[in-house]
Amino acid sequence: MDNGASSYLRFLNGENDAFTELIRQYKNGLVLFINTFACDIHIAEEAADETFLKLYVRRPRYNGACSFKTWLYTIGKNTALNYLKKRSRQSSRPLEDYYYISDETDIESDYIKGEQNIILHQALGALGKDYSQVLYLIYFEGLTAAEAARIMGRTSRQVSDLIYRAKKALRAELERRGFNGQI
Amino acid sequence: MDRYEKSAAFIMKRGDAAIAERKRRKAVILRSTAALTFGTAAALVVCISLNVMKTPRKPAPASSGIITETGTSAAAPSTAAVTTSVRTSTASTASTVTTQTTAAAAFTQEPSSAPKTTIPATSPATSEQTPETTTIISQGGINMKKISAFIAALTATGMLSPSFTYADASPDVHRVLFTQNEMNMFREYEEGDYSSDINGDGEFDICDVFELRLYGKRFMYCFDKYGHDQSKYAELSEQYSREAADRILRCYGSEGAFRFMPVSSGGTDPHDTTGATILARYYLFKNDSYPSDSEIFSALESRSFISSVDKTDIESFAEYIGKLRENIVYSDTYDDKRTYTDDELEAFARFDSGEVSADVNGDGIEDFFDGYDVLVYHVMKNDRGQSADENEFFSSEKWAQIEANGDVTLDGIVDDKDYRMLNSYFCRNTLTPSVTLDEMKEHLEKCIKEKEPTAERTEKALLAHIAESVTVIKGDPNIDGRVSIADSVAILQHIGNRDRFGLSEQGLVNADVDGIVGVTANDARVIQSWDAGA
Repeated sequence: MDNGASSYLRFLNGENDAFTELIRQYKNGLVLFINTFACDIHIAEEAADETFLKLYVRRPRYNGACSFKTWLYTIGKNTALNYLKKRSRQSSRPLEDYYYISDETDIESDYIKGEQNIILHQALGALGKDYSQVLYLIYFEGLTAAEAARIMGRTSRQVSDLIYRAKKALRAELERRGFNGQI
Repeated sequence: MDRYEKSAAFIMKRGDAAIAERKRRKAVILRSTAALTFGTAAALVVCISLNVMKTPRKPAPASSGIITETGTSAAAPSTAAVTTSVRTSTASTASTVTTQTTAAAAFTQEPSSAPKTTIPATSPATSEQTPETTTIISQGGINMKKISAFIAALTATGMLSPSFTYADASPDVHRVLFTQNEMNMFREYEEGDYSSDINGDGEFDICDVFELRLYGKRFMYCFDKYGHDQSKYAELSEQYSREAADRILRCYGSEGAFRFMPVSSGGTDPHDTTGATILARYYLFKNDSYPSDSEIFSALESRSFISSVDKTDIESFAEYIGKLRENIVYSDTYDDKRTYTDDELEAFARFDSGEVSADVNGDGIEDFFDGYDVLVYHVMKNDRGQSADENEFFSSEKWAQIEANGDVTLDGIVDDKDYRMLNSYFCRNTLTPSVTLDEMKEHLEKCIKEKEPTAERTEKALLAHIAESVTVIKGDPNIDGRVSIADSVAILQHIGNRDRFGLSEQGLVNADVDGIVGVTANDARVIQSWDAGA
């Protein structure tokens, strides 16, 4: 059983510390993943919080048919899409819905280190959402094509093709930006 | 407290508030229900009590002849019954009589403040006794009509009270019974493997059920007309764009292709395998009830649909939901004695006698997991075409065990029918299996093979892979890094069955070797000649 699954199981058995461990382990990655289609890091953070809130209140069952990360990211994606839709309808929200966490750390800037990586991530951000999403899941979350397919709601074959096209598009984008540093 | 602990604390605080609110609503509903029940019971007791109460009798001269009662001190209890039955019309005790003081000792009734029934004795008066008469005075007859009116008034009052103004729609409270098959499908909808958002508006509502049912009807029309060859489904392709069809097909799983779904228990059509009824049942699962006709019309009118829709489609859908509504089985009305088919009874007899073992997976225990493992085997082998070595779940030994013992229906193949038969056997008289979630998870952990460690993926790896992806190896459609006869076979398989053996985009580029645009059998021939020449 991977760490996430065991932490979740402990949380279901009543250990709230295990819930904190889940957030510590998965929140950053989930935020960055959601950011690939939310295109706003702050909204992505809020959507990630909604995902963890859903886990806390509803306690959905995890049956181990896929990795815990895959399961969590699938829930996160669906929750984020609903959240984005609701958010687009709301013109005002109660103040209590907002909270501020001290930004002594910035998820994005922490993650991106080095000029080469910065350029790479800028190019990634310029790609279509599907392309950036699949590359993020495969290369930065370490998921297999099958797991990424599960999260994205596509077949493994579609994801394989998507990876191929995404890499070509990323290469073209990098060349357009004049990136010629030791590919 | 670091930022993760702060975030967790905030989320838990919001979560606790949401859970507390839910509990509060449930408690209010329970209190109101209890109050109404108690009130109704109290009203009934009061009515009964009023009915049997007597007005006190005025002392009268012996020969006043006011009331005639032929009673003795030796009046037997049986006479009480006679009087009671005589007195009552619609209610057995809804009559009032006066109390005869001189006969107090004669009656077997215990002295109490409760109203007493004066009973005329059936035996004739003896010489020692003086017949006495008792005036029977009615103090206001109570009948069923008045009781019904009283209860109706009480109920109406309860309904108008503030505690009854809303009902708890907590999804945790499911009075509707769902089968385990349905619960499995609902999990797929919840976890995203099967999409429930048919119309792609980001929400799941009754409109999605409508769209799927309409698509299913049209698909089945084409299937009946043209058979399996979906390229002939002109009527369907005229109605649905490629994008819309792809989105609908994702409700049949991540493969995105139509498949006949399991029949839902709550359906009206035992042959409805389009998945529409299961999706409708999922709606019921999420919302605790189906929408009314007016709600359906309101939801569907002035909506934009993904195909052409007319009024009869909407009316037909409302009728369909109405029938589903009638077929809902609730836990307090479920009949434990489910009717089994002859095939099931025969199979159960084979299990019970030991002629066929229900311990299909060979773990020494006959339980729900035997059925579950048969189902996984069926999906791996029959749906995905995997073999013992390729499958993700079972060791070769267990695969062989299931293959050898899984055909419990004795039809020559291990498939989902065997799973359903085992499930019926283990879940007799219930709709859900008797295993806990933890037991399920533990079992799956034992089954799932260890995954191979994935290569480290970083920015560096991505950049390196970008360089590699541009490299085209002509003659390597299966992208195994070399050119061999297997590549020729891969091309021919792609041509023969694109759905199952289609090449990837890079594979298509690699496969086109004959100088003519497009992948054809000639490319396969060229590659074969390379292999032979090498």
